[in-house]
Amino acid sequence: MHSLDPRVVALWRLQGVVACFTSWLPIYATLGWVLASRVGLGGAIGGVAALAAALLVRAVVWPGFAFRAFRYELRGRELVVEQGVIFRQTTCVPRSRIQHVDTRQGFWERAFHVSRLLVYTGAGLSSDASLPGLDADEAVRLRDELARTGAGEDDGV
Amino acid sequence: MVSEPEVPWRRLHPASLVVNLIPTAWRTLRSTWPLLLAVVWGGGRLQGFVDLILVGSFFATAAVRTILHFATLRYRFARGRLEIQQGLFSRIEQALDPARIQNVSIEQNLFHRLAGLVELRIEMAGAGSGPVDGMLSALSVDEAETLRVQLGRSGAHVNASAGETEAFDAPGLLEVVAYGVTAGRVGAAAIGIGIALDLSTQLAPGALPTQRFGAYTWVGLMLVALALGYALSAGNAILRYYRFRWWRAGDHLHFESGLFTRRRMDIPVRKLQLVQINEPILRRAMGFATLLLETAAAPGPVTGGAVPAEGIVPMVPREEAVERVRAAFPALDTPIDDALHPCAPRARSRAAFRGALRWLGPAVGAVFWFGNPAAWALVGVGALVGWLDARRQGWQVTDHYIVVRRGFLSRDTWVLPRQKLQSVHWVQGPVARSAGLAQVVVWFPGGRLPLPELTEQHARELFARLRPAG
Repeated sequence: MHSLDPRVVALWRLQGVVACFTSWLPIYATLGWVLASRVGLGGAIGGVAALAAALLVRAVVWPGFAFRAFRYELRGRELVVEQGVIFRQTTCVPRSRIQHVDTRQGFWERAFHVSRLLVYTGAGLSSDASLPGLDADEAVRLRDELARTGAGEDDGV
Repeated sequence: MVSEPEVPWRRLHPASLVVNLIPTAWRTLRSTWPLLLAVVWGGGRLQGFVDLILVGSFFATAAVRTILHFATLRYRFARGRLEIQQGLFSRIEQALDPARIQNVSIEQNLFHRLAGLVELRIEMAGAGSGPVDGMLSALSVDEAETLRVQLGRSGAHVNASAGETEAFDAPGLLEVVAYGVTAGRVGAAAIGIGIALDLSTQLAPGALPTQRFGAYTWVGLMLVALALGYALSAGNAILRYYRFRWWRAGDHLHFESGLFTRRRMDIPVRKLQLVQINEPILRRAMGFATLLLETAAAPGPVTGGAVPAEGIVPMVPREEAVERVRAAFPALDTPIDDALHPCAPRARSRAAFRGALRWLGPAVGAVFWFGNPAAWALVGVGALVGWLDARRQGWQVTDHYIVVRRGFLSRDTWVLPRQKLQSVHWVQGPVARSAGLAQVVVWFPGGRLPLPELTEQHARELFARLRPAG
């Protein structure tokens, strides 16, 4: 089975570190306020610092595990994706069921030249399979191949 | 080169202005009810200029929406598809491919009936933005029939009269009432009583001395809520399923019902994705079940309980339920009741634990509220119900179908054709892993269906079997 592009590990780490200092700020503020009112300012600073440190460690360490746990393969008439460190999941999408395939590239992903590939079937809930860190050129090649192979077959809808 | 003659656009019947006004006003009211509630609660007694303007604006909005709907909606059947245009500022253009239509329904409410009109609703697969993709709200009966036939000639939706016709037994009025009673709307009635009590204390302070209500008064109020809930449910069931009938004609299933608003739903059998046999405990005790027939038109995850089904048969004798499923899936190759495999034994302990956790919150609340430690028994009840639920779980995978059953108090059985599977997922959380368990989840057009927890190896084998090469 194939792995994602190794550059995605650095991307995930960067995104995790940035999130530590941006999207977690309201949580730090709430925690600091609660702790300050109960155990004083020192305890509040210590508590917030401990949480931030834990999140930083997670942001640096976790992507390596997630990268190693993620595998995918185009096997015969199906796309197989294995993922998850704690919650493990194996997904199998028959090619004939694929309705459309998207590639998405955000700001950071463009900087790292990786793309996210989203595979949709007629289930119509969300993407049935998502490959989050493919080389951008490989993502386009895979998208075209997946979109081409299932065309004209019974989609079950 | 000879170009195809341009098909003229058609408009709704002019009477739609009158016919649609009240339903649109009702929809507007429903979508803005928090504002109206704020007026009632905040302002006091609906007197005063501001209140008048607010209430007037509801009806003005409804009138403008009705006029805009009539003035801007155009439709035509051209180039083998139904084209619809509507909207003034936000313009919507739809081209509906007849081959992708999941079902067509015709509704006729009281106002439609008086004006000799009908509403034609068309649902497509994956209708994410709203319940109905193409809604033509006021057509003459002939116009609607012509459109239905045109859609049929061009796609899957064929003429309803084609092929052999088989009418199925339909529930009578008493059975419809029983359906309503067993559906239960106690929650709605309780909320209604709560609002009434609150209103009474606001509008006429002191009229009801709620602070001095004793335990018996509250128990009495709860019984009233219970009775009201059952009455509401029964009334709602009569409104919806009065003179219910269903039949199969050719490769279509047809449903017709309704007291004031008559609805007729036509579903091509090959568009059916899932059939659910729903048996709440009271209904089961009466010897009945409900059939819910699902197409891909109303996506929603299936996590237990009822799915947002397109075709509903409210009451079917339990012993005939499986036979009726065959009306939808004639090739059903399993007897369902006798042939279901149980979940893994360890999954029952997990279910008991989950059940206990689910009831922990209410138990803590009850202990603190009533000050009676006996309320901790709720945790035990939750564990017992969870265990019994897991004990009743069952599954079966045949060459063509997947059957899943779960539920102790309210039992549900789902029947899903394998050819409809969109993707297959094998999932395992950390607790399940420590117990050597895993779960297979299948996604179909319109939702997902989790199978009961199995041993890890068994789940792997099942996952391999459900894959295309399996």
